Amino acid sequence: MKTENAISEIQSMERAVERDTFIHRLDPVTKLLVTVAFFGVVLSMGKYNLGGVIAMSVYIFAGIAAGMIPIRKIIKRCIFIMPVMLLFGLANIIWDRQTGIVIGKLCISRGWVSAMVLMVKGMLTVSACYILIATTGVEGICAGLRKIRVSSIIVTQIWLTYRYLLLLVERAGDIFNAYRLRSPGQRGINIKAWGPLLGHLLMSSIDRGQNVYESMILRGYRGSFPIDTGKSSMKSNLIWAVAWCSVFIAIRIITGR
Amino acid sequence: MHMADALVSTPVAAVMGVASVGALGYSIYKVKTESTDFKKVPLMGVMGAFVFASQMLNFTIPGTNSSGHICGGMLLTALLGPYSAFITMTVILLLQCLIFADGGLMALGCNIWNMAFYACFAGGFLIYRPIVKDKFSKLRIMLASVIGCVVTLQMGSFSVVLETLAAGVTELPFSYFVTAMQPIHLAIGAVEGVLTGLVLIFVGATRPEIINQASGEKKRVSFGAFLAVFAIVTLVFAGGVSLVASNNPDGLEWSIRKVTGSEDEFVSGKNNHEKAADIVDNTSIMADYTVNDSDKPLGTTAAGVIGSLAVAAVCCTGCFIFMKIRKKKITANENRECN
Repeated sequence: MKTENAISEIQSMERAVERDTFIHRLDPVTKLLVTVAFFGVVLSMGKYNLGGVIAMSVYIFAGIAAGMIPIRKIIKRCIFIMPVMLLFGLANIIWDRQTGIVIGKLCISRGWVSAMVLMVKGMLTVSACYILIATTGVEGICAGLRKIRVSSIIVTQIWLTYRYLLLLVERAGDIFNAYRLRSPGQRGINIKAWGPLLGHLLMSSIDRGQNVYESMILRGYRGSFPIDTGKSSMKSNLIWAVAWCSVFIAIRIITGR
Repeated sequence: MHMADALVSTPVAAVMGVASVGALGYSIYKVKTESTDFKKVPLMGVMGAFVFASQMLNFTIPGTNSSGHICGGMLLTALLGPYSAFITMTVILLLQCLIFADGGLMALGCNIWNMAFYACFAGGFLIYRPIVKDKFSKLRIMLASVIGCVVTLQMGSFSVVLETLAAGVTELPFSYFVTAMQPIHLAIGAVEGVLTGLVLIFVGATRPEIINQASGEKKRVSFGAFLAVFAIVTLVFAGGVSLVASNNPDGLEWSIRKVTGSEDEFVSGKNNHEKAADIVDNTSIMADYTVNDSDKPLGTTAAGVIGSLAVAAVCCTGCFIFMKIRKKKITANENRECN
């Protein structure tokens, strides 16, 4: 069921964040910068640069090993995006039939190469995103965003939405379970119940928001939260950022477009 | 409709990122200046979580064996107002990307534009508000929700096509891509519209103050705001969409080719036409819509942006001079009447 999957996804991510490794201790801004640099280089690779995108996977393997990231979760995420990548890849195979790579007597068309590049790019970006969130957490991301002077409205929004997420997803799950028990064998929710069902969830959410606002005001809320931005060694952050950016640039230069 | 990172290139991600950050910055400014208390901020957080939660519930689509879920852009616009809804949708899309791998981090600019910008601004200002006009009626709300969802989803899905083709990652022809994307999103938009309408009608009937509170945001769109949005849209089209402009000859060139067999042979010999063409080619800063004869996508993007800025500068200067002259004439007339 969708709600149960969502809850288990959030809980497993929070368990991954609780680990104490070298990457977990790095500053969120450093991890954010390295991830953006990784994305920039991967996306700038040409559509036939298979060697380049494969070489970029070194960051993913290093991240998984150093951050003790559960590989099963990364594979699950890669499988989630694969149908879309396969669809676009298939279009390349059909419409781009020029010879791309020749290995002995085997000719691989450019379409196949670009399809493979597309799929590898998809897997790399999804994995890098998971490495970032599993080693930093939403609170860490908020702290990083505050450090780089992102508006407090946005940071507070991210924090509040994330905090309420689990609560409201559980509530939505309860509503759906109650409905399913009263209408066995029915797929989804009948049109007659669309308005009242979501409407009740919406109104209870608004009431909850109102109560929380009043409680926050009583505790001195003035528009933003004090988020712990933490402290980490400047030296290790610098080494991590410079080392990875150098590797990315070197791969980009060696493998070309 | 969430775009993955692999479907965008660096220039497309950058152009759409700048456009979305611009719209986000303006929304934050409006929320900060228009809200007298901080009440809306926690409400926005709860509403964001509500949209997340409601997306987990599947609704049976009558007459089909399938189900769908709410997307939330139009619902948030109706309940929070366009600016707050845009901020909330941006946060939802960011969390969806980080926690559930739904959409990419670099493609976030594209996703914000496709799903939040159209739903909150085009849907809110151009569709929902003109139809509803602060008068709560079931028909108005249902009409506004359905038209809003259908139109904004069509705009969003068409943008997905343009952005993916501009990134150059797929060989899928434009016609196939559009044919695959638009009809399915027409159906999704209609279902989402009905769902949004039913929820709003239910809330309006049981707790009308929630709908009334939503119309608290100022409704007048200033000329400056209009110009800012128009400038962002222009830059997106000039910088991003120009990449997928057709290389085929335009109407005139096509006609000449049909008549003479080749557009180049129409002007033969070393005559004045050819000399003039040489001068234009040698002196033009951005010949063939590229910078320094570059065939790279960035060259086309830069040419599009520079061209738009140049046209805007010329228009603004022209308007400024025209207004000065007009003001002088009015003052002269007033002085003459006084004398």
